[in-house]
Amino acid sequence: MKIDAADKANGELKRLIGKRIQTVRSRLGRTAKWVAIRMDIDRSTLSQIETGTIHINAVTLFKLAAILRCDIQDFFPTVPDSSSLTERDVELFAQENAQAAVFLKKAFKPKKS
Amino acid sequence: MINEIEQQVEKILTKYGIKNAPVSVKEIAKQHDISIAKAPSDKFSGLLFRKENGQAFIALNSDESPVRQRFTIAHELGHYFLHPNKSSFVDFRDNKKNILRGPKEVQANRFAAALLMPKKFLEKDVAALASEGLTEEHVGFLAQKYNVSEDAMTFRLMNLHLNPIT
Repeated sequence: MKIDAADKANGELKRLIGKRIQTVRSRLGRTAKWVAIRMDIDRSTLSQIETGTIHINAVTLFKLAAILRCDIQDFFPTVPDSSSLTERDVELFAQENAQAAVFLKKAFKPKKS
Repeated sequence: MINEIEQQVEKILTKYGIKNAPVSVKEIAKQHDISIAKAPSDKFSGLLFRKENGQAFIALNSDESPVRQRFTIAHELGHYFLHPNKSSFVDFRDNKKNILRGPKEVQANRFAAALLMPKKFLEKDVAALASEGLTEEHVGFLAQKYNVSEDAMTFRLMNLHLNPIT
């Protein structure tokens, strides 16, 4: 159950990063072919990265930023700040201690996950 | 265990270059990305909640005094550092309830005392202050300097065998 949730989160993140790569590439007016040639990868591989089908590693991501001359942060969603306690977290905690979960929720006002 | 706690606190103080009282417990929490938030509560002084990814959260009772809240942060940091395998700790306002729940609460209290009133700092201060024994005024002064309650300071001095008040 835990692993399923983690897998799902990883998959979503992969898609999100892929989508951002595509957005940056289009914004800069570069075709997939143009990028793939300079990255020395197949166009299909780039497409898989952009659809979040496969993982992109740190080195490839760095090269991509260098080729597109963009900021590497452009490829990532905002890192959740430390106040990112979600309602789901509180629900999990409530199974252990309902009263304390109310206190936690009041203190951190979690966002919907 | 008591010695281990003292040692662990010393490591933390060294790591963050903390050399003087009052010890900034908020800063230590910040260094560990532990976020702190407050809410009123009839029942709880505080709690520590750790997510699966290790991110930790400390909730404090906003109704309690700043000195008490500071102690609670130090206490929750105790759980954070001493008890890494448990995801949450709840601390009741009624301290008897806490202590009855077993050694982890006592350990966290020890940690809090050691962190807020580090042994080395106190030994130095006491030596400089009162070669002929501490008076109540001294305890008051030290409590203010370390930003802790006078009760907490008295206990700590006794535990360190630093001249209980004559």
